[in-house]
Amino acid sequence: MTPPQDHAPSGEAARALAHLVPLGPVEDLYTEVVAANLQALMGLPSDVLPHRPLFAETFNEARRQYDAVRLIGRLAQAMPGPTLCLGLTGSDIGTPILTYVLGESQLGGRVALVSFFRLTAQGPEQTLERLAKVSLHEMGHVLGLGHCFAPMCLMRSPRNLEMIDETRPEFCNACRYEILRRVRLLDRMARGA
Amino acid sequence: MTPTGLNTLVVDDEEGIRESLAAWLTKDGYRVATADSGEAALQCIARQIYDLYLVDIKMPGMDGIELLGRIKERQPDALVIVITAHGTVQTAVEAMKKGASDYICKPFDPEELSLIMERLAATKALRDENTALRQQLMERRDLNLEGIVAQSEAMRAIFATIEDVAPTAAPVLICGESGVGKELVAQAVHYASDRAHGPFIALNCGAQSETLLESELFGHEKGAFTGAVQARRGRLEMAGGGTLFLDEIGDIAPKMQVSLLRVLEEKKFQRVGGNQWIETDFRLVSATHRDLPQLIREGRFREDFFYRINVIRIHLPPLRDRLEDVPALADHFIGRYARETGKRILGLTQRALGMLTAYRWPGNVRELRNVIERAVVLARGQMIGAEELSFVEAGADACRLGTLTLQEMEISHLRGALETCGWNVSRAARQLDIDRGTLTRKMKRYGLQRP
Repeated sequence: MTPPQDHAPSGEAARALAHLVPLGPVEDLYTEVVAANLQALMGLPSDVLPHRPLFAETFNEARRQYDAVRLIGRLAQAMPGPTLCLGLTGSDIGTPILTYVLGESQLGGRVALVSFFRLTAQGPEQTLERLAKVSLHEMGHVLGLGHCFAPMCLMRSPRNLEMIDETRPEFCNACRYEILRRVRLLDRMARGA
Repeated sequence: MTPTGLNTLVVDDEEGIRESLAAWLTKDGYRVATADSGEAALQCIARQIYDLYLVDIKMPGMDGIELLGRIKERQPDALVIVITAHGTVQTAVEAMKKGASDYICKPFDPEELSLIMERLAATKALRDENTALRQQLMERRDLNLEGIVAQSEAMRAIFATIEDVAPTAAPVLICGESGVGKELVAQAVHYASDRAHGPFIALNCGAQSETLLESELFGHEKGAFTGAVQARRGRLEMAGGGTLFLDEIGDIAPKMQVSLLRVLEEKKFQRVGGNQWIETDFRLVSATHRDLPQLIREGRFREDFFYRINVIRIHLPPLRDRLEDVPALADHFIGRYARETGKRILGLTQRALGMLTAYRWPGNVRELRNVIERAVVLARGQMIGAEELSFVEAGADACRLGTLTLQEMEISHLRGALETCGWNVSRAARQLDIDRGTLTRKMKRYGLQRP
C-alpha cells in the first residue's frame, strides 16, 4: 500500500531490529503487510516470528477481553533481548482505564501490541491499511515519540476509526526525522558500534 | 510534535489504573506525576502546583471528594477531573459542587477520555490567554500601536522594515535612546506577525536584580528560595506561542546571557528549583539604549549572545533627528489627553509649536508626551500657548535655530501655520501675511500635504 522508501540502515544485509509476533490466529498476509510498512516508513527491518498462543492468564473474564498492559508485560518476558517486539492479535484488548484499545505500547520501551479485533472494515484492503497505521503508530511510541499535533501525522492521537482512515500512511517531517534518528541509533547499537 | 505540556497529578490507590492513566497522558504530551492516596497527593501539592488533577473518588483514608476540597482551597483555579468506578449521580453532583471540572467513570471509552482532555486543555489555554491579555491591557494603558505617529522618512523606513521582518521568526534587536518608543515598535512587530494572537510578554531587565530576573524569566518551583511560597510560571513560559520582549537587554549579567542563549538554542528550560524540562516557543524581541558592541569589547556582553539576538536590528532615531514628527506627535498626544481630561483643546499656537520644534528633546517622545500632558492639564483656553510650555527648558526657543537651514525653518513654520489653521490654506495664508497663491506654491514645492 505504500511505495518503499530507502530508509533502511546502511551497511550489509540489514539485520532485524524488530520482531513481529502473531499471537493466536493471525493471517500471514497481516504480518507481512505490517512488516513491509515498518521497513518502508520507519526503516525498521522486521522479522516475522512463528505464531504463539495468547497468554491465557492475561484474559479478563469480567470484560471478556485481554488486558493489554499485562499482555505486553508477558510478551516482554517471553521475548527477551534488545530487539523491538510487536505482538499482533485478532482478540479484543483493553487496559485498566480504557474499555478497549486498538494498540498499546511501552513509551520509549521495547514492546507494543496491536489488535485488529475492532479494525475490521468492509474490504480487506481497508482493514490491512488500518492495521498498518496502528502498528506504525504504536512502534512510534516504542521509539519514544509521544502524540503529535500535526493534523495528518500518523503519530496524532487516533481518537476513532474515522480519524485513522482520514490520516494518510505517513509521518510529519518532525516525527519522521526523529524516528529515523532513533532507528539509526538502534542499528548502531545492534551492530555493537 | 507540540506537547500540551500540562503538569498533571494522577491520584488513585490502584497501581494499574494509576500507571495506565499516567502512560496514556504521557503519550499525549502531559507531564505526569502520580500519588497513591489523598495524603500522598497533598505532599506532592505542597512541593509543586499542577495544572490538572485526576482524582479517584474511592480511596482508603482521604477520599477524592475531600482531596478535591483541599486542592480547591489551595488552588481555586485548578482543573480537577474526578474518577470513579462507582459513579452515582449524587457523587457527581457533590464533586461538581465542590468545583470539579468534569466527572468520568472508569473504565473510560478512549474517545470520551480524549474529548474530555481536549476540552480541558482548551479551557486551560483560554484561561492563560485571558490572563496574558489582561496583563497586556494593563501594560498597554499608556502605550498602544496607534501611538506610533510619524511622518519622517526615517520612521517610514522603519515601518517598512517592521512589515518585512514581522512574519519571520527571526529575533529582533531594537536600539535607540530612552523614550524613543522601542516597546511600541516591539508591539508592532508582534501584532504584524503570525503570533499576533499569542501573548506579548514584556519584561524590563534593567529594573531587576539578577536573582529576581532569573525567577521572572524562568519561573520557580515552590520552595526554590526563601519567599517562593508557591510555584510560579516565568515569562519564558507565558510567552509560549507569542513574543517575549526583553527591554534593556544590555543590562543583564553574563551568567543570565548564557542561560538565555541556551533557551534560545534548545527551546526548553527548567524553572528555578525544578528538574522538569519545559518546552517553549516564543519569538524574542529585545531592546537596549546601550552600545552593545562597546559592551562586548569591555567584556560585559557575550558576543555569541549578541549574534543570537541581533539577527535583525532596528535603530530608532532620537526625536531631535526627526523633528518633523513633533507636530504630528504633539497633535496625537493633545487628542489623547484632551479626551482623558474632558477638555476641549483645538491645538497649539504658532509660538508654542515653534517652541516644541525648536527643542532638542533629550527625553525623546516620552518627554514630549509628558510635556503635552502637563500642558493640557494647565491649559485654560482652547489652544495651548507658550505660557503652558514654560517648563520646556529655557532657551528652547533658540537652541534649534543654529542647527536648521533657512529652508528647513521655512518648512517648519509653514507646516506649523497650516496645522494651527486645520490645513485651511486661506486662513493659514492670512496668518502668515502672504497671499493664498504663494502659500499654495510653497506647499507644492515642499510637498506639504494635509495628513
